[in-house]
Amino acid sequence: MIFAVFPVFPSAGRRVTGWAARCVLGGCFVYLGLNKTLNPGDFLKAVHEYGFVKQSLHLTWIAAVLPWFEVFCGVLLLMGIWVRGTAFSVLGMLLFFSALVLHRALRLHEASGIPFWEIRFDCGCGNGPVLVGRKLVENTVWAAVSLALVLSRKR
Amino acid sequence: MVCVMSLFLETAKVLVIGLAVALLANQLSPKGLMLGRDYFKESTRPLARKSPSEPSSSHRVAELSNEQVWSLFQDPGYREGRIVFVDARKESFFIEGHIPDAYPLDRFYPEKDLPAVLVAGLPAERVVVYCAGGTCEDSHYAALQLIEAGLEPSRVQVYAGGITDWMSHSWPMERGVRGSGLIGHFPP
Repeated sequence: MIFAVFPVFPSAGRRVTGWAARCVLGGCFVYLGLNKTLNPGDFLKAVHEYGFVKQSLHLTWIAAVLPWFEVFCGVLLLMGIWVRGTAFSVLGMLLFFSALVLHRALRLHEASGIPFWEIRFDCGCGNGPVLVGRKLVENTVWAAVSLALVLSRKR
Repeated sequence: MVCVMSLFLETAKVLVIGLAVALLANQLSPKGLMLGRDYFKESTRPLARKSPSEPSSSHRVAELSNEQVWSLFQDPGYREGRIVFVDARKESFFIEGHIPDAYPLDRFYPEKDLPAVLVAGLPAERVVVYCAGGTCEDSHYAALQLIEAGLEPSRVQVYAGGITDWMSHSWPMERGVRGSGLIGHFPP
């Protein structure tokens, strides 16, 4: 049925896909962001574990602002406001977070000898301890969705 | 070119407005972090030594083994308030189970619990702070908060094994708020 409709309205398929993509990505950012805002102390500790920020006051600012910024981006995507700019910001965050998670996982892998795909820690992603390999695959999918939204034609 | 410019312009709008909204939301949230507070601050006061031969550490509070903590727990001074236990985990974990009669002190929101802990801790001979144990550092930072608030550094110590170690020995736990009386031996 769906395949029968798309050729008649070639833009309708793209519109539905774009709508679904931004709803799923936006919903995910709202959910994970809110989880962090409910436990900012846990998020602060998780960010501290990465050791990439030396000034702990800067850490406080990051932990205070980032979760709410994620919620803001999620809401914009859900509402369809500034979709390309928001998706570009989300893409930047996803690439940066993934690089941090990968770096820490590699350090743990070298230090402990645990197979990379079995490394598990609280990456501060909003859903507690996770398997790093799975998280990186998940982030890659979200990054691809964000990129698709960035490249989508502006209506 | 125009398309790329409009993308950057839109991104800039998202960043600027988003950061402003995020700052405001953090300020308005009851769980918001204090932007001017250094949550990983080391103590500016000299701390206790583990033994007279050891040099004083600049940022580590002296630690107690589980045997030492257990003997303090059984000491009559614990019932008399001369020995005080402080739980540095977040409130939800405290409610699930804590060392009987321990005071809660969530180090991220000390304003709520600190007055009660100080009232109990200032006249006490020993104050033992614990968190989850393992890699958890909340007990150290909470101990430093207590020292900064005026407790004598030599009287403040950390139970390094934390609640995980306590539970592994099936030692008594209290559920609910402090003094709830719901005491039992919960399995690890």
